[in-house]
Amino acid sequence: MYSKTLLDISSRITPADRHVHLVHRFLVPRNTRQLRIDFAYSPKLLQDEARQNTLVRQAVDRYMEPELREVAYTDPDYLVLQNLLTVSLDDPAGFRGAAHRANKEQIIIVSESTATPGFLAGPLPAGLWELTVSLHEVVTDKCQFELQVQAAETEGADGL
Amino acid sequence: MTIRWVACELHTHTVHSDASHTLDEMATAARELELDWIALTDHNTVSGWAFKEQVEAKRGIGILSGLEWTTFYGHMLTLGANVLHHADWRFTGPDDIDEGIAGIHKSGGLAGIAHPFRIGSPICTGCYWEFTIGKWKALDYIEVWNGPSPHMKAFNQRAYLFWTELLNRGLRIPAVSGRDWHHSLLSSEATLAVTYLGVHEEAAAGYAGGGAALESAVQDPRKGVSEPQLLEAIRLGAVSVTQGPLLKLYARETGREENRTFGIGEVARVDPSAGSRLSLTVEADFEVRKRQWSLEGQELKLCLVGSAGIVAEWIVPPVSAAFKTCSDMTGQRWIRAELYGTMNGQAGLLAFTNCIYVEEGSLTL
Repeated sequence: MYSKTLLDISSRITPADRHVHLVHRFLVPRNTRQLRIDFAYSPKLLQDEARQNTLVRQAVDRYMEPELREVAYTDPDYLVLQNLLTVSLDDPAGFRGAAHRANKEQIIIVSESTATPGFLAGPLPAGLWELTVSLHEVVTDKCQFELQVQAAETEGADGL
Repeated sequence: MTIRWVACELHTHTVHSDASHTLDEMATAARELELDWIALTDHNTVSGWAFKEQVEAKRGIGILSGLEWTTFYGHMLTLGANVLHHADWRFTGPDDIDEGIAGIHKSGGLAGIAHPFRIGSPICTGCYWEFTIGKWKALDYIEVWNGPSPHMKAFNQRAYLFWTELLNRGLRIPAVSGRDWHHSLLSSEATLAVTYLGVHEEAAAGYAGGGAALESAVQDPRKGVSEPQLLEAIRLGAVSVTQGPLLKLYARETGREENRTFGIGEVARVDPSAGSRLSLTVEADFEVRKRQWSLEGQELKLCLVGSAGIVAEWIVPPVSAAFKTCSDMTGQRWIRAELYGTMNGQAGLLAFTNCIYVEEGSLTL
């Protein structure tokens, strides 16, 4: 069904990259009927307990008032640190959607008539589109993401 | 002039970002909660808006278009317009928020800080407000109560104090609540706050009271109120926030031939040298959304608070009543009402109004 791969990239990121936006500009060919984006990253959770405790301690000290800190250091709600990467999509005219959600594996479909929640259905104009990976949080030493964009052509388009 | 108070939930999410419910499921739950309007504020997207009118008609509730600008340095709620073309959070650094807010305004939207003191990164990235604001006056509102049982949370208490500080610095900024609604599961102790927005009755066209109101609500999910009217109410600070009874506040001029009345969000100008003074009335309406909460069997504390301290205090039973005072208002730059009590075993601030601002002196021309 998907006849063309428009983007296929694998990136390794580290905590130094947190709060970075990685913009992938790619060409959507004429007669594209549907786009499929596969996005996956790993790991999701920070397993290193010592590191987790340190990071929570730093956040609590930075954001909370002194009298509340002692309890907060061991708050079970806080002690589940995770990486958060989100994707957003822009066509040549502007915003086409965003997936602000925690899932570490996502498939996003955009076509003229339907779109995955978070994205706008509508015509898929040919030209340079952008897929942005926003690195909201990177707490593990290393994190790897895979990003692939595939296009399905309008039926009969290749037959001229 | 009569004000109609519209029960609103101003901060919600759906499957279009990271919540578990659809707009239709949330609207159904919102009707159960006796809300009149909900704002759809998904993280960084407007794709959920496509279902707005369909859900409004099906569930009989108004839906206000919004989104939550979910950035690395702070979360900002926007209401009333698709702001993404003029205000792209991905291009907004920690020192660029004034431009971001200007872009939101250029789009025709309102900008409000969400949960300014919720713990931030890496526990909740961007949840703590870290943008540097140059023009505070440009901000349209601040969410001082976030989440269920808002009065019990330290980060909300801090936000409320911060709002008070801003008011004392002379900033006339409205304060609202937002459930930050992601799913409908709630513990039995949890209480929910509602933001009432005051709309002028004559502006709320074609809406009859009483039995006819119910009938027209079925026909008109927006209950005769438009999105621009609700935005205007926030802009003006015609706002009353509560987990139970609705508080209304009026200031009436006395000692003049034509005494004016000022409502929540308005500026009351008094001229003591010309004999003009203010009399303040707080009304507590215990008939609103009655199935949702109970304060029976306790005495509540109702206060009028101003920039220069407490203006008046009453210990009151949990029934609808009006309370009036002609206290000395010298030095008060703003006045608001607050109600304290215990709801579901959790004691604290249960409701507050936005301010009536006070200016002394004659308007010399």
